[in-house]
Amino acid sequence: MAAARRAKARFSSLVPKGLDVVGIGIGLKGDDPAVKVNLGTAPEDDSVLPKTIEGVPVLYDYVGKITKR
Amino acid sequence: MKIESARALKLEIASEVVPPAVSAISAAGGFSVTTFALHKLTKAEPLVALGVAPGKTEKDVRLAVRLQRHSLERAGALLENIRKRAKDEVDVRFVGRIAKHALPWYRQRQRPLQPGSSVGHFKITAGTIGAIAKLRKTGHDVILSNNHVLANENDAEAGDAILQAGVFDKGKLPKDTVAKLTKWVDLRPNGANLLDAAIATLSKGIAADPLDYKGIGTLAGVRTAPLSPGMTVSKVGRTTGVTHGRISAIELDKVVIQYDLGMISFDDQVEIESTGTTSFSAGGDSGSLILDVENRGCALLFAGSETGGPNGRGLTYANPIAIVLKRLAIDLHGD
Repeated sequence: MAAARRAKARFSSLVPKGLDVVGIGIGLKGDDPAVKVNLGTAPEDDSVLPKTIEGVPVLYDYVGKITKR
Repeated sequence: MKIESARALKLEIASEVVPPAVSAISAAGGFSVTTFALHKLTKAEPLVALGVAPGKTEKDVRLAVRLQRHSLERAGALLENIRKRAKDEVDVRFVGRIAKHALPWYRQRQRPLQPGSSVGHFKITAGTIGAIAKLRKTGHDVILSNNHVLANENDAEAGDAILQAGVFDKGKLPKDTVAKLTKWVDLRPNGANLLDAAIATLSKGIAADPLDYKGIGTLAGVRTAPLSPGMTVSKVGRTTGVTHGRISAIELDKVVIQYDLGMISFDDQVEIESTGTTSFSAGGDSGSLILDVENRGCALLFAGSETGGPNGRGLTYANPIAIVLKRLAIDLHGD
């Protein structure tokens, strides 16, 4: 979990500015902690998105608009 | 036939064909009657509904005839006359009495007050009673829900009326007032927020059932162990009732949510995905308390998306319960 937290903290320095991030937290890939990144819209080029950070997997989810319920 | 012809035929049959057929049945002994309370008796008698049904092609329509009495179905002359006038371009079906669907309990007035049921500030539509909690100082019972449910996104005053059911569920001032707004945490359009929460003190004489989470079980107080991804959770709320899910992320920062106030950002949130066949939550479920597998309160539901998650049914967002209880100086029952 500590490694996932470190990777989460580094994420914003590794991706281009303007990426439509609407949430970044700690999720699971299989049984292992992973960085979970929610995007409002898909980037034009998703090859800029890191798949791992310091060995921790990064999961991307396109969640669109989030509204109060 | 053309739609204009179908419309004209509807009027013709309603005025010239149906009334004589009904009179004939009445003269021959009348319709059967179903037993129900007299106060439910209205002047609207279920007989024949007329409309327009699709035809053989996209540009073509037929006359739709929906019979609500078997006596009419057996009245051969009536149907024969309709078929003749419509040149057999008619779709006849027996549909019987059409009843409105009963509202689920969580959208109705509940006394004693029930967690999971409809509630709201008198100027909003409706949200959910997350919990009947107690003030740490006095022990008085309060309703716990969101700021945007009880305090109208900061646009409210202490003492404002809280209705159960909420206005959207036919709650009215003053008869459905159950509590007075007491305290809320302001939503801040600038900077990071941690919670969307508020409380309202129960009015004198309003009873509540704090431990009964209908469809889930008995509240067992607050969860003190940290939340972790993969944990199974459930909730009962005003719109989707009881649903089950799993925590898909914790410590979620920069969660940007659309309010009437504008876009508001939250840090340290919990994300939940559905494990059922529908979404974990929908509009109106705001304020629901999320319970762990041991029925301990662990988070306060406040937002959601329509897409995302492994099944594409959207994701739900909630404040961790510890910060909610601390900032509002309340405790859950059942500890």
